[in-house]
Amino acid sequence: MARRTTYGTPTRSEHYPRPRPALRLTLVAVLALGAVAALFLAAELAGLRAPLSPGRVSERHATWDARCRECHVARQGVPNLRCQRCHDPGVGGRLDHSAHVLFGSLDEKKAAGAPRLECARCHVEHRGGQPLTRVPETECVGCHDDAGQVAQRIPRFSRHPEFQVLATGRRQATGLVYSHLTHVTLGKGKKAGYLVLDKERRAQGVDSPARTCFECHERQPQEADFQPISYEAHCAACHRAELKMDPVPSALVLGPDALPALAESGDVQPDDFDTQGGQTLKLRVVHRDAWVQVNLRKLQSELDPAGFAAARAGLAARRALLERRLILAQPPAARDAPALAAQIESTRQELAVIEGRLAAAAQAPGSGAREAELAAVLQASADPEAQALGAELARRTSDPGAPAGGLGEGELGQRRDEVLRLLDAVEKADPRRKPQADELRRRLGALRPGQTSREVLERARAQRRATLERLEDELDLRLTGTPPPPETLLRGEVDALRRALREVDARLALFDALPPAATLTADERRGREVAVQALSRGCRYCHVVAPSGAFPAVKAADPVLRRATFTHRAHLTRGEACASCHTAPKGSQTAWSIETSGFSEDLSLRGIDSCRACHGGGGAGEACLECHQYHPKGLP
Amino acid sequence: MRALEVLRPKQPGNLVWTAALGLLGLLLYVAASWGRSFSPKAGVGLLFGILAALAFVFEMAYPSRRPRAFPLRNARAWLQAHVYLGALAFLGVLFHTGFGWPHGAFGWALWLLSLWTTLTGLLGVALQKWIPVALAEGLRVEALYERMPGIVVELREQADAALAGSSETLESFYRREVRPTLEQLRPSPGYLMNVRAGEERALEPFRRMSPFVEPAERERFDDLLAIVTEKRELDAQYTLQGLLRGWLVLHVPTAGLLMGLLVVHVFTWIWY
Repeated sequence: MARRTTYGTPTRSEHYPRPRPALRLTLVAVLALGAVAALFLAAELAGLRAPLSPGRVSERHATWDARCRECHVARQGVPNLRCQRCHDPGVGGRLDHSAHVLFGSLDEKKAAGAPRLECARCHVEHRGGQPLTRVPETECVGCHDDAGQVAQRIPRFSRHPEFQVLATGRRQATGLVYSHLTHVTLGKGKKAGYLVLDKERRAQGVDSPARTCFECHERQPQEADFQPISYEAHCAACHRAELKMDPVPSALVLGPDALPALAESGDVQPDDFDTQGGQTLKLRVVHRDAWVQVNLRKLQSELDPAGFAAARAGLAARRALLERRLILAQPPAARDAPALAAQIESTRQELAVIEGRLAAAAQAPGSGAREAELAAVLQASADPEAQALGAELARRTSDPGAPAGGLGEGELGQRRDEVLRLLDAVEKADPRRKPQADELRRRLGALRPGQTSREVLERARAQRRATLERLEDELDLRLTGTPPPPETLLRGEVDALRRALREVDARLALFDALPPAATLTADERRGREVAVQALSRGCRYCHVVAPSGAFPAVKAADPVLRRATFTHRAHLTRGEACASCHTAPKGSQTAWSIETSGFSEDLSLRGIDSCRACHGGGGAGEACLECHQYHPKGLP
Repeated sequence: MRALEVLRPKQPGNLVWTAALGLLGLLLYVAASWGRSFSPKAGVGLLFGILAALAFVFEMAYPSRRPRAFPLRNARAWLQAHVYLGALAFLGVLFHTGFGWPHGAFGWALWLLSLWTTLTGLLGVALQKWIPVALAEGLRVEALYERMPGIVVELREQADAALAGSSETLESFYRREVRPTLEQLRPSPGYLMNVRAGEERALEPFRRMSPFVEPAERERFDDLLAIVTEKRELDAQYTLQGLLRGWLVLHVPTAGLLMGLLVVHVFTWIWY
């Protein structure tokens, strides 16, 4: 019989076929899970954290790649404290969000109320070596868009407002008398579109329109922008002859050997002076001539003692502030555990004192009563100036229309000068009072327009708390064996502060070396005013000199765009003539243009529209970070 | 046509829900990242990460569908949830990472294992829908996977018995060309696309031999042909059932590795 076709199983089984274990693979999976978790846990316990790294850190942080705990804090992520160890070593808070708000708004109150942002929010690490400075545009727009809480709403470049310096028409007092009008003109014919130098310079062989501006605005291959203008490099060739003075009465000026500082300067040689007929004439006047500067300062001390004292007091206040910052800038990260513990204790004490003062201020009578009390003390003083201040204070205290809260900018500056002068007088009378005077100077320096002393105290409390937090964190790190960051990272700010302090000291020494000024009669005053004119004849060719001899600092190099950074290098590579941005467009009714600019205060830039000609719309970049920086460059 | 059958969901409602949830997630992602910074560590990015991690934990609990299928009603519901939530979990991973490439070996391992586990899971779904239909439609023979080696031995014995006492010609043909094919199961990937793949070539010797078979031995010859055909169907069964079980080797252990890395990932997120 033929075999039947099989449908289904060909034969029945004679025994029970045992199925495979149902959970065998699941068991493998669970074992794999456990093994992986155990492996990483063991690595963590053994301190091998590289396998846990979610990606390579940026090149600059490569040294810290597997030293997780130098940046990470258990259950907190990467707090700002750990970034500040190296990047803001002096507990200055310069890099946090409130510094950004202060930089943008210049409003202390707004800055104090700014929300706390973590550095790691914008600077995302472990991105395979990407530089941390590459911050996505969205981080800026997140706050500055239409729905943002901040005043400056700039969701895209096309809606960027006009530069504030142009919108407000602010003109910076540069301290210089300079006119582009007398140096360049707009070329014609083949030189149309270019600025050309005046005839005199052309006669000297400088006739290339493409080189006109670079005669003074020198490009440096390694620098992003032009070298700052300096007398020796850019003015002396044409203007050395203007450096001269007229004879001044010898009785009104100090001799060449009157001050050791003059001998040290190297500008003063006995042969330089002609002292015939009771008149002194310095035959060889140089730029920043030390003898001329000292004598102008001396004449100022006689003609305007209040201004002189205010200038000196301002310098003393700056010195006090710099000293305090220098103390704060000793990086906590560089200290050992005992030093950190000691500083924690002293900071706690400082904090307790501030808390006590704040509590006392809350219970004390109103500021009016305190001011009346102070006025009474000042009026009882033997010092006529103190009496006058007391009377003025009493008048203001009794004025029912006086504004509550802090003082406005003008009045604050005036009253600050008054108090600083008083502090100078107190310190001169009793040198033992210097620490207290310095403390008051610092507090005055910290006071901003519209701010009350309570707000200053609250700010100080916030600073001390931040300091305490940093110190305690650093102590924890030190106790767990974490070494301090490399010293080179911590040195920059301290060095900058020391340089600034040396400069202030030198200027203060000059103030203090001058003989005390006597009260002048009208004739004596007139004689000294004439002497100021004679002494400063050469200076006044380019500088603004007050009739009293005061010499405002030159600020021509200050950036015009305060919140943005503009570098010429990137723009000059396009081969554009300078005139394309620094002259008014054809047909424009704009008042300014570089070739018609008669004053150093003139702002010779077209504004945001000239930027839009290239930036945006697929041309040059339009990201915020093309021009702006989140972190202000805060240095002494 | 068969491919379309594979793509057709068994329960279209679940696919619609999954697509709707995926779309919702996409909209949420777009809303959260449009013109703003998107971070997997905060806000919506973190939410996606947490949801994906929870979904993976649920996926890993799939073996607990037996014996009581709690809390879902039955094994089928578990399977549906396993498949669709698995797909959503990988979408959650993509949203969590902001559709960016991972950074670092650990990140790549997590991402690739998520992708691999999801793809092998979907491969399993396709196989589960393709193979049973192919087996049912194309083959007469069926058997338990574990029994097939035994059945092959029985078929070989039946063939030996059928050929006992046959002519030298038929005996020679059997020894030389047929019996080697009955020695053991011969799985071949070709059966995946066609359960009758290679049949013509396998039966060619029988067609060649058929004219030379004596009428008296025709029945033996036909029995031998039937046995060889059954053996070939068993080969196809063995191959396809093996695939049905074997794909789990690709899926389950890597899912365990993924869960291990996920535990470490969550730990480092909380701790660091």
